[in-house]
Amino acid sequence: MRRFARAVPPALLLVAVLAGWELYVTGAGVSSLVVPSPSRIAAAIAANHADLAHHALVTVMEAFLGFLIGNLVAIGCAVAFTYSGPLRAGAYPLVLALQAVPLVAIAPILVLWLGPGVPSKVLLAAFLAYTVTLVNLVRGLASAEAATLELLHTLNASRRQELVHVRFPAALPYLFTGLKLGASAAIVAAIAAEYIGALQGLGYLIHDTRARLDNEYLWAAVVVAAVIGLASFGLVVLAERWAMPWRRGLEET
Amino acid sequence: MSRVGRRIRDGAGGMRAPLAFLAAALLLWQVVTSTGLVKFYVLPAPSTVLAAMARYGPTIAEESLATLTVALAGFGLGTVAAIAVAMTLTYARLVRDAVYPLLLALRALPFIAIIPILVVIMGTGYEPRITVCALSTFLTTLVNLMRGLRSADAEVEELMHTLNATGMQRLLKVRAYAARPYLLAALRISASSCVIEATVAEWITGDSGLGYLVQISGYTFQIGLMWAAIVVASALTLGLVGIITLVERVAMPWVPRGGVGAAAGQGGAA
Repeated sequence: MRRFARAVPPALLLVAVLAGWELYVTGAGVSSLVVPSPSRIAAAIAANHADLAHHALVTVMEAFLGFLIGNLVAIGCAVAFTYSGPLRAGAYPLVLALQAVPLVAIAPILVLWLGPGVPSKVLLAAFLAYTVTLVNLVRGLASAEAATLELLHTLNASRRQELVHVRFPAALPYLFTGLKLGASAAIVAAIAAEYIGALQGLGYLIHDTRARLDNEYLWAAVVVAAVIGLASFGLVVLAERWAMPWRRGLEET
Repeated sequence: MSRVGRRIRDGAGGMRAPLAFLAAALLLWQVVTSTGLVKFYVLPAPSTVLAAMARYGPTIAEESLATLTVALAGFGLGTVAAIAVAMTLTYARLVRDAVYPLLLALRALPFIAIIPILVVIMGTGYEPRITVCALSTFLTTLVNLMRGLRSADAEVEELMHTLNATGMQRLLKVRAYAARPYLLAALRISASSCVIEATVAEWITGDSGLGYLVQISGYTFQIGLMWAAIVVASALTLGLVGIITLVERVAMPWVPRGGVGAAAGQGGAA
């Protein structure tokens, strides 16, 4: 019940904003070529739902594949960095630097390499997911309590046992922080790479509808992109709650 | 050596191994590309990229200035707005209950998707580019600040209450103080996402800036110039993030490397 009560004020505000927008656009006679009203955007979504679903699916697939690949590689690298001193000293600062580099800016290079198809988008999404997860996970694996690690050492535990029983559980909250950022980043990467060159996907659709001055359809595509962004973030939050039930209620965001 | 100087030097000392690694990678890159096994448009040699940088220096500088203007203007506007709104939301409970969840949801949106809409409304000038940077900076910074302001030590708050401190005094002396590391962490993330958004927006507005330079050099197959523009965009980001990290280390040496609150990541805000 409390959750429901908490949702009331923002829901009311959202309705008020949408109503105000609708009234202003229709009342002041703002052209759909500038800003369409929410009802016309909804109508555009309904009219083009099959096309929107197709393009959205492409973007989701690219982002998800990239997310998966990037995270798997990141988990492998994080473990390697945790146990290899030279590797950590030499390569990890470069990963940190890579993280500050505007990776999205290399989209044109990737599209040039791999063409306008799906692989360039997957690769960019993987790159972005890789850096955020790696940086957070390395921190997480290092956050395991020293006393517990010493205890395991005394008990003659293997590295694998140490990793599975101590380091990974300690790293979970960090991992999920990385995954949350990575989920949003993967969608951003897919859309950005589609802007540069693509034959399908939401980024392509957004670019194409703008070029055709089909403003209502443009807004419809952007709304779908926004929903996908929110949904992907929400899914990771749900997974986080499922994986770490003891932290429920600790984090509001 | 001064304390500040030592802290900066400590940061640089750990860079020896990665610099050696980077040098080795560049050397390998140069050798591989000079064998001619890799086509120049797949991977231009570092020397080609450097040559393009030298040849098109003034152009690159001009476009960098455009990108930097957009990124910094958006960064500044977004930060100021976030600080003002965060202070308001901390004290206006009802407004916070209604507005904050929506702002949290907005933060999860892919901002680059709205750039074309902004371009339709505002044209292809600086306005839509600055707006998208400001928007992402605003939301990232706001969320972090709200967390930071709440992170104030409850006992210190109680003490202030006992001392009959006013609401303003509590805000400035306790909460704002606690929020500083969170603010800087948000600024670090926003600095890099601003350059990203400015660049992506320049692909779309196609008017000026490094993103525009990347695009036209790609179209005209000037691969060296394209890479040069990307390298400069990366250097700009690293520079901005570096400045903020330096401020963080000098002003708050007790904060762990990498900051608090906002986890590392460029994607969350991009």
